[in-house]
Amino acid sequence: METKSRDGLNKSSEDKINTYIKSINASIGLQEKKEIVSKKIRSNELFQSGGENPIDELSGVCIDGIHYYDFKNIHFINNTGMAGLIDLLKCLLQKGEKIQFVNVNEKVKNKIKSMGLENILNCS
Amino acid sequence: MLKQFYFDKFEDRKPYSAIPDNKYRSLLFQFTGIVTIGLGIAYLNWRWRFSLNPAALWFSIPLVLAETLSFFSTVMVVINFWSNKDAEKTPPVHYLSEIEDLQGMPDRPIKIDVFIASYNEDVELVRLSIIDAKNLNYPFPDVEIKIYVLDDGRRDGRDPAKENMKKVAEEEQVNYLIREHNQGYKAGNLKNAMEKTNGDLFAILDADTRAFPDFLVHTTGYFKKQKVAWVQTPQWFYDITDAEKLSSIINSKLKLTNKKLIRLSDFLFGKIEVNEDIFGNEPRLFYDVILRKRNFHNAAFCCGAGSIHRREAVMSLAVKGFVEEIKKLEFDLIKKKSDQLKIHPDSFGDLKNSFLLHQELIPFKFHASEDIYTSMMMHADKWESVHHPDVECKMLSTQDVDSWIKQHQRYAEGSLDIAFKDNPLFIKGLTWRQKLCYFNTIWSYFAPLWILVFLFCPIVFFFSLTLPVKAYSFDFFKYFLPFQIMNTITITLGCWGISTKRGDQYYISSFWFMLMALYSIARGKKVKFNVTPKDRNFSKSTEHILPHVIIIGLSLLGVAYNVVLLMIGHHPAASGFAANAFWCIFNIISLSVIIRAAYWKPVETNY
Repeated sequence: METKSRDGLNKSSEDKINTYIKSINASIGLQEKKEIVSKKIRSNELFQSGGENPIDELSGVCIDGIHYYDFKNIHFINNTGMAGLIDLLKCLLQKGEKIQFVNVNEKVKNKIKSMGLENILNCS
Repeated sequence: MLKQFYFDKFEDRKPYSAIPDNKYRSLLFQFTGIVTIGLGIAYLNWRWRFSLNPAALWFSIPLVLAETLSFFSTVMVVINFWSNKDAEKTPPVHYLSEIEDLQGMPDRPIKIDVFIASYNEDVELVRLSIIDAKNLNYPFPDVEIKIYVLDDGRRDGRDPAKENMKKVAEEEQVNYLIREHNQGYKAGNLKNAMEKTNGDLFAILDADTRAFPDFLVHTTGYFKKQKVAWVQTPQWFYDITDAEKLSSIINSKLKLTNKKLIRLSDFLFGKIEVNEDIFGNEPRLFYDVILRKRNFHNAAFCCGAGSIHRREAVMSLAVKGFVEEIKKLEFDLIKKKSDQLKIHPDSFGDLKNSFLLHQELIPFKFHASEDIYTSMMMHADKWESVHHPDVECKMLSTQDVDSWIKQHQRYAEGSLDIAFKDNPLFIKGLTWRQKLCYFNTIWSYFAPLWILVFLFCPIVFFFSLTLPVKAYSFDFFKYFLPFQIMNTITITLGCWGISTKRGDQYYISSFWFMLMALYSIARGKKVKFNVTPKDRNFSKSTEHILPHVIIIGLSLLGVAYNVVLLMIGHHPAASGFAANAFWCIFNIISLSVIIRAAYWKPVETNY
């Protein structure tokens, strides 16, 4: 019963996440390695509980319920991309998981700060 | 075979051309505007200080107060109309780098989405809009233009009682988006669409908005200016009622069949034409004057259909709005923490997460007047807007009084709700000129307060035989006439080339509905988003015109009573009667338009 309900939640969350990922791709699609980033985010197995799944060494990883996303290839992010990140954050929170963006360059950090998101999106 | 509609016969109508700009006319307008304000101040100064009737202050003061409030409108109109500054037209956009700073990133052709928002409209009507959207031209074949039907009516075939919108979208090979609820009305529908699409620019069309082929060609170029958030084009109603021959109406109402009588009627009344734009729907004054002149103040707001938007701008507002709401909730929480018992740090984190979860990213304000509200916030966020002067799409107007009232009450309630909740005068980020322009829009919905006084003044005089001024003396006319004449000249110059007759009549005759809207908002009633019906409904119109009938009846009764008094030589103020009778005739003519509209039916009902 529990599995069924979780599957139900996962399915709708998955649809939503895919939409958000599309939106992130659209907005950060300007950067050179768009395809790779897209693959990385998808390969993070967002919809399965952390620990049980292989951790993707390239992309964001999930350790102890915290999803780490590598931003080293993200050189630019616009408002639409920012909205995508917020939605991603919300989707993970819904699952009781946290999110951390790593290797965020100064330009992206400044953008996050200028939008007032520095206390919402955890960057390092 | 496409379905037949009442508006099929208007398909060949051509839109108006925007009034050519003329700097000398603008200068003359500015001159007469200043003189009008000066004369108005002099008149009101005289009215407040020297003209009040001390024996009837209960009557004098409401009138002079109404005149003063009305004068504020004049001042704001002069500011709004001050100058014309159309944005420079530029060729359409090809690459993203033309509209956005890519900061060294690779370029690509832009992507454009066309949203057709629908709720319960006839699917065959929507099909016409889809067909026209599919015919949109764009000079660059590598620019991706995607059309989406945003169906908020969940007409995807699940309910056999409903028409199947999804099927029509599939037949026309366009995208179809629905959601499982109607949260946020149209704004929510757009939000849902924005989450599922990725166009750099997106056009908003209503179910009945038929874009002309060059809609995108003529509008995307404005976005080369990177601060431009949206471009609004005029909403042109191509189904506005034609003028009808009075003789045809008489022949039809009396069901004349006798050829001699018909000929006589044609001879007597054949040259008189009435009922042109009987519902006062012609929006040209609004789009070609009011909104267009707001380009000068960077305060032209979005009106929904017929507009095109920069996704980045809308998302910027959404993200900032999200952050502000979270901060507000956190602030409240911290306040609560210090005020009340201690909250465990873990609980604080959980609460913060709960805020994040429950707060939504809202690109367009969830509001009955989402267009103006979102525009105001975008302007406050330093984005710019463009009102494109040329008509680029056609739409349907309301075709009966019920629908007209529903639509205008929604506009009024929406705008008044903004006035009470987020008054533009106090919004940070807006320039004072933008504040005044937005406030002007809202202020116009307070007009029933003074219109009511103007409508009742002659009646009060007729039955009380009391003058609201000391006397209709030379002094009165010395101050009143120059102000009124200059005011008329100023408005004529400001609205050059556009008839304001029907607009003026509806300004007065809509007093009751606007008053009801004001009352409703003052009581704190939630504003409903009523979808404007796109078909004709000739029933139930009578109940709306009762206040108009009562005022006209009282006015006529008052005139008759005063005529009798004059005839028997017992009238104490003949000059007062003349002035009030003239005033009363003006009121009756203005009020009667909505009564005629309520009973209007096309002479030829061949659809």
